[in-house]
Amino acid sequence: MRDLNVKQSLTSYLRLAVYAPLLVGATTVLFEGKPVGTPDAGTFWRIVDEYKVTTMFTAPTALRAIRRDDGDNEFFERRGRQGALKTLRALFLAGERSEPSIVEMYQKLLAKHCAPGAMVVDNWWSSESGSPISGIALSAAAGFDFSSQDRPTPLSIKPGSAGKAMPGFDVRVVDDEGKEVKRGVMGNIVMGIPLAPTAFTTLWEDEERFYKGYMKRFDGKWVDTGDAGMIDNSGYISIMSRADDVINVAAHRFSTGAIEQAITTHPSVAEAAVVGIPDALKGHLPFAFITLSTHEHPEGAVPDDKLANEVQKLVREQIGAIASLGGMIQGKASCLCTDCM
Amino acid sequence: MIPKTRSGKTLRRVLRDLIENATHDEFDKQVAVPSTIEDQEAVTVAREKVREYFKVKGKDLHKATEARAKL
Repeated sequence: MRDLNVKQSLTSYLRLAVYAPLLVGATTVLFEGKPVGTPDAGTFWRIVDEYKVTTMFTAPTALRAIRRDDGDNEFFERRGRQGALKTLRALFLAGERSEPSIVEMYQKLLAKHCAPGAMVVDNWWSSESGSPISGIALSAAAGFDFSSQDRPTPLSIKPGSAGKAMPGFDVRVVDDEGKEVKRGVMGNIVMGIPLAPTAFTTLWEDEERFYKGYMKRFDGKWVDTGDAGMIDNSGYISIMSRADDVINVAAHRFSTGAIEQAITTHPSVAEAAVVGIPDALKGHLPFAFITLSTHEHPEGAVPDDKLANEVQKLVREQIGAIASLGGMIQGKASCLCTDCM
Repeated sequence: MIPKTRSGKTLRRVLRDLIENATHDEFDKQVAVPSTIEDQEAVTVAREKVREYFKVKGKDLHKATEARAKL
């Protein structure tokens, strides 16, 4: 088995990238470089082909960079048509929220060109947890018997969700008082103690900082992850944003991630970042920074009326009129690609 | 234009600070940028875009809700 890991910042993923594959005798391929521009947006797929990669791990931002340079997935399709990507069984995404559009796009590509049943698995964890807190297990039987060769069909994915809680992690969604909220309602994501054995139990020579940083907010009852999101009726966890990225608009709480997701369903928008702008009436309004996926980048910071209206409409339809954007700035992507640097 | 960390996380706080400063007419005020930023230049680009947006469109649209103490 070979694993391809693409990670710009390696340290916090060292356990997943190197130690965990070693436990099962797997080979890890570490690719240190850009997903685009060296020489093109097909580099990842070339490595999958050449090293017969079975499981790939990367950040959604790398896939967005590829989408920007190769909007029609020509590199993936070309290698796929040659049957060169048949070894790939799973594409794991972590490091930040994966919006459904990127998950759906790659799920289609995997179904078309990769191993039977190949999946895109969005998963969520942190340096502190030491192993995935949520995800979809590809070999769930190994939880009972480490050497099990059984491969029961994995649970299905829900694009936009980071899967279900992994064994050992008790994940809950609570309000600011630490009280659990109803399924489907957004709140602070916390964990019951004890955590799984992979997780931290203190900070090096700084118990007080450990308490203040993680335990104090909910009075020792929950470990604060600093993330906000919800759990649906089937137990699938969606991480929407960091808790301090929640905007309060006229007493309605919106996640910047959800609004960004609505904005990026516009075909001309490559990426969006939403922040709160102060507003005399409503406290704050969502304000969007967008980068365009069009080949010609307009110079001005203010989007033309057509684009502005279309994006506004998407936000109103998908989130609600109260989440209407207070303003929008467009610009070029701060891209990893050499042409842009 | 959208600043990110090396591991690909969007630095919304930086953008939020730039926007808030703009509502106070403080376009050039320093904002705290983490050392893990991928491309420092993205902040400069965002700052100029914010300035342009406020000049062209946002000037009368967005006002700070509380005046800042002049120190």
